[in-house]
Amino acid sequence: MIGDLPPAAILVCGALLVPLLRGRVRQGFLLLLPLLGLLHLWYLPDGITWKIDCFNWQLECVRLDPLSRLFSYLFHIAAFLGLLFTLQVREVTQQAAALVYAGSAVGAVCAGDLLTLFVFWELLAVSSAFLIWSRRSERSARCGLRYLLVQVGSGVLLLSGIAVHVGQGGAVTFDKMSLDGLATGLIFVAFGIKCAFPLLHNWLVDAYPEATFGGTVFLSAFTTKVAVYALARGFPGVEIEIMGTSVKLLVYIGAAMAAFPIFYAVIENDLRRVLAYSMINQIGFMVCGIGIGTELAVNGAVSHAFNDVLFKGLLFMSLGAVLYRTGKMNGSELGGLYKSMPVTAGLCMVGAASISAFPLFSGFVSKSMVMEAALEGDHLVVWLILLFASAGVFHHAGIKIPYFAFFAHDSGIRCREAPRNMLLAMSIAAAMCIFNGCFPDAWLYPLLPFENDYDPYTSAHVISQLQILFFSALAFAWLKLSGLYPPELRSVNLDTDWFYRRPLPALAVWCTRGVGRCRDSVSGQMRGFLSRLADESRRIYGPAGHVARTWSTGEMVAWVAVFLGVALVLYYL
Amino acid sequence: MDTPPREQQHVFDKPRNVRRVLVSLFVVCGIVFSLDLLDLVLPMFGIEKLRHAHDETRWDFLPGFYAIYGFISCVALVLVAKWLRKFLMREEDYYDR
Repeated sequence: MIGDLPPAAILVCGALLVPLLRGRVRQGFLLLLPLLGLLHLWYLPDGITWKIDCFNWQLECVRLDPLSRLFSYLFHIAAFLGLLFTLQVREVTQQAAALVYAGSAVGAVCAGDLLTLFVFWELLAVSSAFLIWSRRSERSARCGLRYLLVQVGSGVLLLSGIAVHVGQGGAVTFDKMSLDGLATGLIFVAFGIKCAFPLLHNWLVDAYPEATFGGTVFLSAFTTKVAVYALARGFPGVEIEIMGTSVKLLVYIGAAMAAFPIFYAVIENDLRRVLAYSMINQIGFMVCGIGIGTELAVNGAVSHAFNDVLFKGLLFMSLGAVLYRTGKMNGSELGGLYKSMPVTAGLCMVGAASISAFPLFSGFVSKSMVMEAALEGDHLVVWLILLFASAGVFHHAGIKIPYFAFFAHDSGIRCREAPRNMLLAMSIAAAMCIFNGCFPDAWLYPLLPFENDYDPYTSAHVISQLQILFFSALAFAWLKLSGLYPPELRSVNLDTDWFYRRPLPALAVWCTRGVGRCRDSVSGQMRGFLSRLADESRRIYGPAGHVARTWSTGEMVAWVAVFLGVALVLYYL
Repeated sequence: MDTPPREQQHVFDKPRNVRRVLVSLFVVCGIVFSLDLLDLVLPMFGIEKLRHAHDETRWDFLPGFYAIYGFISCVALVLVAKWLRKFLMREEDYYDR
């Protein structure tokens, strides 16, 4: 459309113009940019469309194929929905940062070489941090810094990996890699940090709930999905040797990601943090699919990423609307909001049904592909874990979120319904969730990287899924009625961030104090030595000192006579 | 925040409606569970089974497997998570102190 302009350029360059515009013009411009980008992408042909020569390498800055195209479309849609949702925001930093953020996500998935990927990888980190800082509280300022440190750390690992890889004679193009050395190991960990692998996940649950009401909507869409793309591109079905047997590493990492966060989600009070945990759980399904590596599994992972951006975005938007209207986000302080915000409540439930994989909603189609692939690949234990995670996700994201925000006990909060632009953004996302669930082969399947003939709507599958979901709901109802369900309490739950928020700063303080004490002691001793030296010099050379004593002229003459006499005697001898 | 002068009655303010939701949940649970039991009965009348398990060698062919698994998973999830609170839960301002 606009020649071979890189797809990321429209969003990133557009962000630079945002501060120059005001009022409705700016609003129109913000909504137009992602649509323009989408149209441009539509007409851009597959293949390498933008190359530059740099340091003797040929960098393929833009490479389009079905995989990168799907993610690029997705990021444009997410950017449009996010911008529509936050249209009333007057703060230009947030909107410009969001555009750069979306643009760098598009740039990263279109990158045909590792260096371009690295550049966008870091740009993602920096631009997204502004969405956290925009909340303008001391908490979010500190949280943004922690977030940035982790993200930049991931970038440094990526760059180190690329340096070692290229130094060992590896190609700079970004293609499938095997996990067999330091270079690919570093790249894998860098992807893992952004993808929120277990133990590396805490930046996500720490930072996302601290962002602005709209910032979290953007954050939920891009960073982790870029990492999912990077894994799908670089390490599908990757295997490592453990005691002579080859293990599909990502399958087990994915299963762990799907299972452990749901325990936290049940006891977490901040509802956006519940969603953040649930996000790791959903990424677990994607990572698992990429780990299995078959065509069905990768298709499942990628389509789940697509659907996840929509339904997770919808859920974050509905909670963002609640935060915008009430200023509260804790389950213990909310409740009964269906009375004031009935449309938001309804749209939130569409998101909840989609994430829970209810038949006719989007999650049902994509999650089942991964589950089916796990069964076909003989990963029975992993399949059981994923099934547990599916039941769990309905429990905490499907029921807990709408229940504690909109129903439960009446918190007494009465507010207005969400603004029209927010309702419109949520409605579009909800419509897409239902459309993808009802007609998966209309435009989701044709976008997938591999041929797809999976049919989720078999009677066996629908009945199995309904059994899981309704009996999970039954468990919730029973636990609630019997009083066994843990109440929402104002609290924080310790997670791996404890290590870098408690012992590590304490260690740093201890080290600083130690260094301070050493410095004090050395400088004290030096000062003592110097003052002693000064005293001694003063004693010898001072006005009363031995050296400074005056001598009488007669005495001098007498001594000169003595010396002359001695010299005369010596001469005659 | 606007406070309307007179609070109108909403759907779930009436306990009857809450009860209705619960009863519908029980009924739906009963129906989806019995669809599996129907599979045991239908072949006796020469009618094909409603649902076919993925693979007869695996144990998801058990009638009601998904229902039981879903229920037990959720109860276990909540009870374990509740128990984890003993070790993980701290005051809200734990990190700000």
